[in-house]
Amino acid sequence: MDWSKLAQLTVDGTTLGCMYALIALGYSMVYGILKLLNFAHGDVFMIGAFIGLFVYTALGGPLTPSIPIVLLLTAMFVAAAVGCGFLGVAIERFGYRPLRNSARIAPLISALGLSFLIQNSALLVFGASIRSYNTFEFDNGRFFTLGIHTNLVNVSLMRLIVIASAAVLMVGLMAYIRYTAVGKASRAVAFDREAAEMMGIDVDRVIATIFFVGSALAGIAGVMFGLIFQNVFHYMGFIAGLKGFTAAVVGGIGSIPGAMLGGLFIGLVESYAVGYLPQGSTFQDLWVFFILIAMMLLRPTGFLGKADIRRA
Amino acid sequence: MKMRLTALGVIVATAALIAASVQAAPSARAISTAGGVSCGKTATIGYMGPTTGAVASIGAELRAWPLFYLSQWNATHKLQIKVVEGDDQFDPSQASTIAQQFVSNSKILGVLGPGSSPEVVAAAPLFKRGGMPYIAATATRSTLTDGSNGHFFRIAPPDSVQAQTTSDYLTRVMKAGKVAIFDDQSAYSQPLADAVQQLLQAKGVSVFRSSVSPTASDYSATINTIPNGTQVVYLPFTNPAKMQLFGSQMTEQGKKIAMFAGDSGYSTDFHIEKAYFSTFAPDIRDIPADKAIINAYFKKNGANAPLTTYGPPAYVAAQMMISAVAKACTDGTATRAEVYKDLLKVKLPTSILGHSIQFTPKGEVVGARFVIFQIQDGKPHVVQK
Repeated sequence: MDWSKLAQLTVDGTTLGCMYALIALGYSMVYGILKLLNFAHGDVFMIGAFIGLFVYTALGGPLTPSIPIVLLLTAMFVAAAVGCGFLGVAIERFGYRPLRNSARIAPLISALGLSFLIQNSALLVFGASIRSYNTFEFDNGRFFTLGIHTNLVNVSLMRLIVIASAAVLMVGLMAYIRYTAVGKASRAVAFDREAAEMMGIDVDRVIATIFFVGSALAGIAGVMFGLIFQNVFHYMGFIAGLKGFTAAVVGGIGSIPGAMLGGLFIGLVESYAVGYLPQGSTFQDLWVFFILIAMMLLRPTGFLGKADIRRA
Repeated sequence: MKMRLTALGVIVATAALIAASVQAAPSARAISTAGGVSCGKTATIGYMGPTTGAVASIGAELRAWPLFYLSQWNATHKLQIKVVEGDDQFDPSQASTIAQQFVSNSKILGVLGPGSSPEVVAAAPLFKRGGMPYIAATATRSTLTDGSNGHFFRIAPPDSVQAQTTSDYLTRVMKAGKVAIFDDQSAYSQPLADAVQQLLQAKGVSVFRSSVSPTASDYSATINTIPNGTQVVYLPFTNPAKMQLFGSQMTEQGKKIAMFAGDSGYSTDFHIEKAYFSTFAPDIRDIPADKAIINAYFKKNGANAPLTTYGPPAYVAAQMMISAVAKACTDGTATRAEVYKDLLKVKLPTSILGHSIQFTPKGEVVGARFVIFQIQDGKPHVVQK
């Protein structure tokens, strides 16, 4: 058994999984509250990556940052979170709220349309060329040469930062949902929207907050993606969004812990499949969607999801 | 009754319109292929390339250089050449649409482009039907000159030459006994990777062969599959940014393996130190005789105008096409068939590529070869001509 290969693939899969988890959280939160699949969510992730890139470039880029690197990274994350948060609120306000009482298919079609709109708007504004974060040149490459480098495994400082940040965000989100008033209101709206409204909860505001938080997480995931995987382009949200959606479904759509678990699971499955299966990298995306189909057939509620109880 | 008469009138009018169009079409075809176009003072050619889209940066250079030659020609010759441009966006479906437009335009005597092999394949049936001669500067798929693509010519040598050059360099110079090859599942990358694999295996080299998904953004797990003891990783990807990521992630994982890329390696997006790549043209900045042309190009297009290995073949393509058109227009009229015949006769004793240019009957340049570069101190340097 090649333990070094296993350890390295685990690290690689965990990094990917953290990003998928952050995207999946947005899907799960929105589905939990609105029973809507927000297919534009992957493109919010893409916009987050671009916002991070522009902040990074405006503040001096990889070679000559005008502020300390810790502040630079913080600024990138905050800008992406805030920008994508507001984008998410706008998507909800103009794309989904008018259709809230329509047939279920209407917001779904609206979601698909919004996805294409955002993608093609990005193409128009940013161009089709792949842009690079060039983080391997950041601080003379120290973010990749420093870290944990042993015979067993190589984990760069950048990956450690991404994994740690993702863990803090996930724990923070769980605490937010569990212990804050807005979190409790969100759970109430997810449980029974009408009853929550009758209890005096401002449902529109709660839904907007959920979209803000979910989109902010996707924006942060976009920056993380750029920091680790360098290349950002206008259609990067399509596959990432589909994998985030798969993670949400595998974990149990509507379940926040499920989304986190699903994201990590998908990331690890993808990494192990590429590393161990014959021609694994050729069919890299296939394994993830195979898991989705298998889960739908064997356990449609996902790992931690609950079956809907319908009244007669 | 009134409604029925109106409906009948519409049907009759539509039928008449269709009949008129059908009658007109043969005439349009006749103009484009039979009688010839008047070209005593001006002649028209088409340009097709990826002006916008995923490879717009390459497209900018593929466009700038032939237009530069055009401006030089028009400044010094009585016969003025006009160009009709089409943007194929690196998309075969766009290429076939533009090809149809060009063929239908009776004034167009020849076309520069398309920019790459998939677009050539898409445009070829239309160009063939319209008898249009066309020169693709940098389309390298080996099968393009098998006779099925009409009056097709190219300046860059085919991938069969690239595969031979690459495998020869890997074994003779780099002494590689164990090579890993990854293609990106594109129409360019896969056949080239297959060809290099076959040639290496014939020379007794151990080859690990795989591919990466075209939508992959992370190669960490793929890099883990590279067998121990691998001396060279060969990556003929179409996108230099993806090759850059692959190389960076190899460094991140501590894998000190030499990299060898295909002809997209000549790009500012690919700068892995000590990596090699093969490409279909030399760096013309290394050719002293080209200094005046290079200075004139930058003077016209600005100091930041693109110059890699894509522009010079496009410049040469324009030279050949315009020379053939001028030759065909000597008597004041020309047809596409005449331009095609003259393309086979035109010879440039010297060119900015450092060698003479003449087409074989199949449409290849006689003696065309690939050049190998290595990135040293962040810049590409020729290591084999």
